[in-house]
Amino acid sequence: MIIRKHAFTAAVSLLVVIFLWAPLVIVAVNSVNSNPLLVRWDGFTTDWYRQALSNSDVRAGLRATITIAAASTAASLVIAVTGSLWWRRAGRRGRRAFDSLTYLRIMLPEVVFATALFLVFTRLHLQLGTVAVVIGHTVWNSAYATLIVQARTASLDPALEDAAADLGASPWRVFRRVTMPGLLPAIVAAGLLAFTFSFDDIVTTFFLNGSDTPTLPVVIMSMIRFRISPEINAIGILVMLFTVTMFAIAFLAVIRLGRGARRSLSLPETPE
Amino acid sequence: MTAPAVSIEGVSKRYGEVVAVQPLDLEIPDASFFSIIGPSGCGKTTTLRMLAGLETPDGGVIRVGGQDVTRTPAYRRPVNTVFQSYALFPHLDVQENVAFGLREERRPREEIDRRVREMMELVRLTGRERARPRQLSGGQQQRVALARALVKHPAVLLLDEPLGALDMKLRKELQTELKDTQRRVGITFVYVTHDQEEAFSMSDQVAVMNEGVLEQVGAPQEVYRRPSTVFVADFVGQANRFAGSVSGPSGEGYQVAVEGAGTVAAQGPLGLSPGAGVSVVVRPENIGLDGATGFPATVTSVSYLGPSRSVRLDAGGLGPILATVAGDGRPVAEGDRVNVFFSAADAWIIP
Repeated sequence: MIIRKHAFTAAVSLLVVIFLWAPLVIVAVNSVNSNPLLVRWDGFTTDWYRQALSNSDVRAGLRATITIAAASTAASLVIAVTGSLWWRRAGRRGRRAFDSLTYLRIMLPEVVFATALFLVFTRLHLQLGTVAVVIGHTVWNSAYATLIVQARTASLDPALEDAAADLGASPWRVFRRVTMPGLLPAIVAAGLLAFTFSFDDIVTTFFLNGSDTPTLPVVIMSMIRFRISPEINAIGILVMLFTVTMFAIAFLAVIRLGRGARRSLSLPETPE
Repeated sequence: MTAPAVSIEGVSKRYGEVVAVQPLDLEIPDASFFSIIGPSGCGKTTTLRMLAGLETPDGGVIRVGGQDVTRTPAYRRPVNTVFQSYALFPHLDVQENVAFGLREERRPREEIDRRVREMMELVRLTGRERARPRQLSGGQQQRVALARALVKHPAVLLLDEPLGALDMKLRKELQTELKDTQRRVGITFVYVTHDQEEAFSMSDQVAVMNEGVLEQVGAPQEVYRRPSTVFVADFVGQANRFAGSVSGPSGEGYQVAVEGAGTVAAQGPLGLSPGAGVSVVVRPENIGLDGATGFPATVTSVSYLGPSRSVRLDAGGLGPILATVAGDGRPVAEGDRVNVFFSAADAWIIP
């Protein structure tokens, strides 16, 4: 009834869904298809996965990607936590400047920052490579991480830190025993997101990696440029599973954070 | 003679253009229950936070037990605080909350366990060690906050409206409990509240603050019966005020000419000179309605409150007068003509 009434919109929606998801389904099916040319279903195999995991380019790429993602995540979290803690005590103008800088790093196209960093590095005769990529990723990754951590600091009750100091905790101990546990869900969520964003980045990496070991997305890109090897499908599915898992954990952490914020570490309801 | 637990000399605090506390002098006797009362925004919480070391005063000296702590950070001061919202650590259980301060002192494990256990007994929370703060009732949370501060054996315990979030009945219970605890541990309590009744019921001394200024310090009875400013008179209970001028001495007090009521006898501070414009303050419960002397007034309303009745009167040029009379006394009704009187001992002059 409803479908008949809205036949046109229903048809369009269906087409969109098919268009978006069909390639993924095909990739998933072909990643276990034993036909090497992938022209028809020849039966189930795990050969492509085995091949992908033993491909030295893929392995080196994965190692490079994880190194860069881990470094960029660590740097982003330090920036996000220190920045958010500063933001909490800053004045109105300081806050506005801080927020503008954060949003700009998210809004401006990645290619702008990548180009700018590329020019700076070459002008200063600094070598492009892993370090440059980590810096490039941290530009936007730290902004996303900041947004998440900031939301949490805003709802942390400052009276808890006062209480800790009052009970004899030095500023560092206050941070360790009260502030940090309060921020933990946000730090976990921000870290996972940052790691994931860095993991599948291609633009910044392409600009700044120089002659260092190419990362996994770059490896994949160069692999499909000439011929489509069936192991691409396996790699694609592996990357997808990894990303989805990371996002799921981040999502759950954020949900817990949302619920916990109201229930535990948040501001008390103002007494009458 | 022992040194005062706390002495404050010329301590002030401003936030930008806003003056929170004017230069303030205050001495808090050792082992006493001392309250600072005043309306919200009067500077009482800021004063307490400066004592705790959570705010830095702009000037002046703060001494605790004779020791200058003005520049000592909060975590090295021998004072502890019970916060308004308790500020219990939500990620720690009751036991860990109470042990927090002792762990920061790096006390041996056995000592921490023993002192925490004693405290849990003192605040009657034994058995709730493993509960999280949010699983406790408001009153229990309040007691954890108290235990967490007291376990450190502070020289002075600061309490910032610790009963503010609780309902009336529980407040009354905990007031008694707090006073008992204070007597038992013998620690100086500095209690901040906007509720003068609460302060009066527990305190040895109260300080009244208004707009960053300390208006009066004294025993509750003193502050109530002999307010030194009009603000204090109005803030601590209800007050009838009559404007007049001093006409001369009378026994231990003065004669005051009050327009519309003739000359009344009242007590007042020493050194008032004749002709000075003053206010005479009389509490509603000290107003009598069937005097042979006094001045005439008309009853405008009567409300029955159980043990007492509250009577509003109109006395012409004097403005409305409030009287509290016994609930079972001579009945008065709206429109009655009565003679208002009060004795010189119950009338107090504010310059």
